[in-house]
Amino acid sequence: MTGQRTTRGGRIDRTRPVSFTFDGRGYQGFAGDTLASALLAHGVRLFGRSFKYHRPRGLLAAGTEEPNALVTVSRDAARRTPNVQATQVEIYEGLVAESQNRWPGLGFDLNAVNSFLSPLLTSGFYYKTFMWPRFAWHRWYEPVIRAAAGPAHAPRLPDPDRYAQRFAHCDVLVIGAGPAGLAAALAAAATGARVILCDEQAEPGGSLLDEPAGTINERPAALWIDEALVKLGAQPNVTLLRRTTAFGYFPHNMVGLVECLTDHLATPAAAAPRERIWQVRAREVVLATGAIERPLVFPGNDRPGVMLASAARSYLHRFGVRVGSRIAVLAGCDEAYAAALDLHEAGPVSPSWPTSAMRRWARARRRHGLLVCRSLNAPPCWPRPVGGESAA
Amino acid sequence: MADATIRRIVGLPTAAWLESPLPATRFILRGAPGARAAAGEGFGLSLPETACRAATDGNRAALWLGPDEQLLLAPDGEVEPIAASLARALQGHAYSLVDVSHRQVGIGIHGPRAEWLLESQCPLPLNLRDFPVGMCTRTVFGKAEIVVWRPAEQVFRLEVWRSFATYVAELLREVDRESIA
Amino acid sequence: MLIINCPYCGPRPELEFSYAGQAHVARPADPSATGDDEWTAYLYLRTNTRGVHAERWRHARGCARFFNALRDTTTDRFRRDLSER
Repeated sequence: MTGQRTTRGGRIDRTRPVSFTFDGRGYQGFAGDTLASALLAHGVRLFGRSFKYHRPRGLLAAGTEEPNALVTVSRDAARRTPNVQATQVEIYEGLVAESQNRWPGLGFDLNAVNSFLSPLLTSGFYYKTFMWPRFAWHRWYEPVIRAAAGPAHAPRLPDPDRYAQRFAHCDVLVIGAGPAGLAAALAAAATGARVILCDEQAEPGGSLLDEPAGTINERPAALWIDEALVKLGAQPNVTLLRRTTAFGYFPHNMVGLVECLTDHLATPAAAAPRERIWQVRAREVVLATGAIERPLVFPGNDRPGVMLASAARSYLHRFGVRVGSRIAVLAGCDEAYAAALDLHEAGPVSPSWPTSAMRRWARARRRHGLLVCRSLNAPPCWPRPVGGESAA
Repeated sequence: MADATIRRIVGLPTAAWLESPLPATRFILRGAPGARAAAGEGFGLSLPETACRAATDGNRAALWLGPDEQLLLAPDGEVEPIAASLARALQGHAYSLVDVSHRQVGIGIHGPRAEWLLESQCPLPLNLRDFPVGMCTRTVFGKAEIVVWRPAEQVFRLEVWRSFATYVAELLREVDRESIA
Repeated sequence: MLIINCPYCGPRPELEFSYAGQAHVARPADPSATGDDEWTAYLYLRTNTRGVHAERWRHARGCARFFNALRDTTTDRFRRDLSER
């Protein structure tokens, strides 16, 4: 699976190229890209190594549910943030990112030998094996094991950034600015209630951003978002917080939010706080957090190239990146058909292996000439996940 | 104590929206409702009966702090006459009257951002609906105990114990810097 | 952070309050005539209720008054009286 930038589409600004480096190599993306989408557009498929066996890991998701692509982002020696998800890093001019948990390099990792030794590395292996001779633990074993384990390194200098805090009170706090959250905020704001609407993404819209063909009240999704934002922006009783994650729901409707203020900026103002923590006391809280797709379980599903179908749609529609040239879609529900059709329209054939056939989609795929393999169990035409093109 | 001396001691920063120190004559009066009524006559304005409300008359103010506790504010340098007049009015009542003029520092916050500046560290809702003009209360600002009073829509007055004054003022300045972002 | 209803000031954030233990713990009238067991009970023994608990709070950074409140220790809900569900 090698990603490539589509010729049009996506919510990125193709007139504003942005340069950044990953593991020392220069890349170019566009304003609105995440680190993940920009690298994917350049055909990067390896984002990290697994914790113990150093198995190669690629992107599984496009949002906060990403488990594999953990990277270190640094501005200078003191401003180094390890373990951030590449899918959550907005690129800016001069961004420096590095992969983690590999030595000497991401592509060639000596510790991957653990993978071949795995039958020997039983649980408790470390505790039993490195007991003898006694003095060797501190001198030999521990330094080597510590260097090989642990995903990243924290900065050794004190944090020079400022962090702000704030109390807020509102009638309705809406968590998530997807279709449900925006609708809830609009309805609440219309009654004159004080509303706080927060979303972890830079751009409100949630799943609608991945669904440009969708409609709400017979309006195209993108237009509906814009209209909702204009309406909310015109109301003085509405506060919209972007890049703001709700992290805790405490007694008596107290919700903790953390707002990222400068991490997406190339040159933040010197006195500007990096993050702001909000303690919001709300009369009512609306949880409109949406849902994330559950990955399927099969051998090798952690290999680079295996990705959630929702993520593939997200990369396509939000970032204008087609995740591969030959894509297999494993369908568990009708969403997968939408993904298959979307990906198909953006490029050449994408064969699909459904586990449940649906007439509506079957008609659509015949119209589009998709190849469908029918099978209820693991199909005989199961893609080889290692090396070759693989399933999503 | 002269302004300059207080400024030197507590090292308060200044800004267009921040006015401090506000020198004043300050008394804490404690006593039963009977004493409160009598003290009103001695102080020249009837002390507030309603919880968390202030009463003002000219340049004098009385702030409700608790059911038996009032903070009396008057212009600087009036300790002697006010103490004498209150002592006369309160004769026969059980009460306590303490001159706290120099125990605390007044900080005035003005302008359209006053509410926003205070809500950074004060856990109370300070919008006009929940904290109307004339409301006052003891509360917290960050880690410090403060008395906050809203004499006008865009004016807040804080009364802070002297040793916390620098902390409160510096914290307000820090919040002010956020608006650069 | 709880919202606690001060009988004088109204609903206020927990930050302004300090907890003052179980309510209705009476000090023996004559400590010198009190036996060890009774004194121990007064000093140390508390109910550790699961459910509605009568407790004292002080609006320490507000009006500075002590007051009694009924709180459900399982839900952190304050109640007006014992009959309230």
